[in-house]
Amino acid sequence: MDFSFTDEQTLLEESVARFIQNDYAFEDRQKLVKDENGFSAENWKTFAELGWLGVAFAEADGGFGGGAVESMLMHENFGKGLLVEPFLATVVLAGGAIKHGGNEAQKAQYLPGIIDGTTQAALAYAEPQGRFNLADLTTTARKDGTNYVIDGYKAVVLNGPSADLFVVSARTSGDQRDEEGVSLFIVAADAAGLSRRDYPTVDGLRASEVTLEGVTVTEDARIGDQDQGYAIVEQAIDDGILAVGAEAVGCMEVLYKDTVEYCKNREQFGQPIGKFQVLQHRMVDMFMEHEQSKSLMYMAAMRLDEGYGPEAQKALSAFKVQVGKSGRFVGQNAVQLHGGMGMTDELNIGHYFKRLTIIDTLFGNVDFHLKRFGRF
Amino acid sequence: MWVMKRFKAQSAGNFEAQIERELDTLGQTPAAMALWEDLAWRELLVERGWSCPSWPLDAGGPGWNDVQKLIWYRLCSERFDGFCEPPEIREVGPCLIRWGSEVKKILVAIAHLEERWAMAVFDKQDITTTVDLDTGRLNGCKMAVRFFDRADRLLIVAQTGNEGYVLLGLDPTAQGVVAEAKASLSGDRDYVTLTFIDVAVEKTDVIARIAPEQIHALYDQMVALELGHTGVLNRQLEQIRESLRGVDDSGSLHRRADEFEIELAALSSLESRMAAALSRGESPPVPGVLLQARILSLKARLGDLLIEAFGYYALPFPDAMMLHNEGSVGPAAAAQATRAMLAISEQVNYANLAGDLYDRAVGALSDVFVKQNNDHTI
Repeated sequence: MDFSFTDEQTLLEESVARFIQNDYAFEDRQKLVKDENGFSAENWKTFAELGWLGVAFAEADGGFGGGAVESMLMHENFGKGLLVEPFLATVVLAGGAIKHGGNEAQKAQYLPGIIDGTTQAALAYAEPQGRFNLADLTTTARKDGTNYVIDGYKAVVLNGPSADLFVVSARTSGDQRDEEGVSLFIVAADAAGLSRRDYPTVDGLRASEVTLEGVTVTEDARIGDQDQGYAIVEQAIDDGILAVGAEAVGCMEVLYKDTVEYCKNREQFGQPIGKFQVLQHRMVDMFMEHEQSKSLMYMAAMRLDEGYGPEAQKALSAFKVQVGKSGRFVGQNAVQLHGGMGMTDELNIGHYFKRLTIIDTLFGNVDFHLKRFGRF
Repeated sequence: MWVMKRFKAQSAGNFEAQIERELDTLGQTPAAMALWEDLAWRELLVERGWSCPSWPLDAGGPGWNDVQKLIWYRLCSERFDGFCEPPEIREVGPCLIRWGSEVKKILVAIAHLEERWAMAVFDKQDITTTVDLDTGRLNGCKMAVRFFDRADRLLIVAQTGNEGYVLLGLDPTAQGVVAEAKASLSGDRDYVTLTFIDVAVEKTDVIARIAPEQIHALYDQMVALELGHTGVLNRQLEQIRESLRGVDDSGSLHRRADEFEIELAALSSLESRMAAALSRGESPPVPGVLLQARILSLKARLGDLLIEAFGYYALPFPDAMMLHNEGSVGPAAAAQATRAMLAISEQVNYANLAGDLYDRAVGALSDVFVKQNNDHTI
């Protein structure tokens, strides 16, 4: 029951928090959102120099051997700053799939580029008909001698526009929704037959619809054993759940604190609206929703660090349900308590609300994770 | 429960292992209430120095820190239906320790179960029960007094006019004390209304004097969260899940039970964070009263779920005698469901008697809302 952090974890958190506070002003972030890339290459380089891009990877692979707690600390602060750099897509999802399932040669080939910031990556796992079911795949990978030929369509691939490589899930055997028969492949963004339609998302990030028509990759591009890719993509997504959940906790903290601050200063009927008891009760509830989410975040991170398996997955689903509900509550109330200003694009409140709304949908919403929780 | 087991693994290993081993040797007893009165059980606790788990060392307790207390209460609530210590140890003792003077003898008597105490602290309106220390007369009325039937002494809060307030230790059989058991929502007669008509009070009955500006702190302590409540709630949720087994509702009740389990996991984790912070001598992440308000709210919803599980069979409300003679109407678990829900409602109500918990929580966070630079988060 010791919730204190190690010296290294504290240093890491302070480093990220300092960057977000000093070098990631909301106005600068808004400029990045409007930029063609949607993020700052300069910032990405800084992340690499600070070692953040390597925290999640093993020391043997050139990383720092960090775990779930480190990821949690970083993403909670990313959430406070509404970070738009593609850390989640490149490091946690695509990098995570290679980390969990890749062989030594693949790790040696791809991870150094991710860690030093020269490689951008994306995990292409979702399909239009699949909703949150990672196994629901119509994209196929057909064996052709020592190669595979991939055909299909991938939806809402985060960081698709900037990715140098994609980790693509495709069916190599079985029926459309079978967990058995899913395989993962590393596909270069400039591979023949791969095309993209790029677009911004509600929360200011970038994504792509990716079409694969007769894309040929060698056997070396397959991550893990043939037909056994589901477990790998599931683990990468579960890492992603902790990451975006922690982001949501960071978002909620900013919303709660900014709302309290606003209510202290905004006057109505000759007194600050923070003195109205009804509003105080709502702020108390916002405060508690944030604290309850934070508590489950700690629990999920600790479980994940103890070992990946059903217990950790159950904790992650509980956490995702909590942040889904709490995020909606805190976001809605922050907008309402800010009155007319809460609806404007110039105030940060609405942007946090948008991010929280998207986080609820990412990797399975409240309903999905409540069902998954009940299965364990 | 899965969450509790996990936090146990994170906790002070040796302490927990020792307590767990010892509790195993003491065996399984189903009802905590029965344990209160079980002298052999008390003796076993006294032998180990655990009879007053929340008391400090110099008052005769084990001097555990908050993490250790939490471990104790959680382990107990896993094995028993609640906390296995009587109200004089859990509620009265801490009040005496904080506010009383020269209470050593009383504490020893309480610790050895030589004196059983009940708290008579809630008036119908403000604190209108008065004691005239010159004439030695007590007049007034206290409501919602629990455990009166077993009490050897009453802890009473009374007003002394301009001087403020006193805590009195009074003989419940004294002349002028009129007790009226009121049937409560659940049909039990656990709550008693006491009327005091010129009851003689000795100066030696005065345990503590409370200045007017301290009276809120006294009541704050009375309603303050004792760690371990989420453990009891976990146990109740398990029992509800047991009741839901076999109930056909296309999964919606189970789904709600899952939702409650997640919320409870969050509160349980928050409680652990609070214990950890308090043990380090830091401020807890949230005021205890706010966690208590959330726990009670969840508790009430658990009670609702219990009733819904049995559909029409939640309606029968036979008296205890009929249940004893003729058995339950409908499923046995259903016969207890409505009573359990109503009892929960009573508990929620009782916890709010000293003032709405949410208002207290807002009060505890008032610095955050109206002053500057006070950060309650950690």
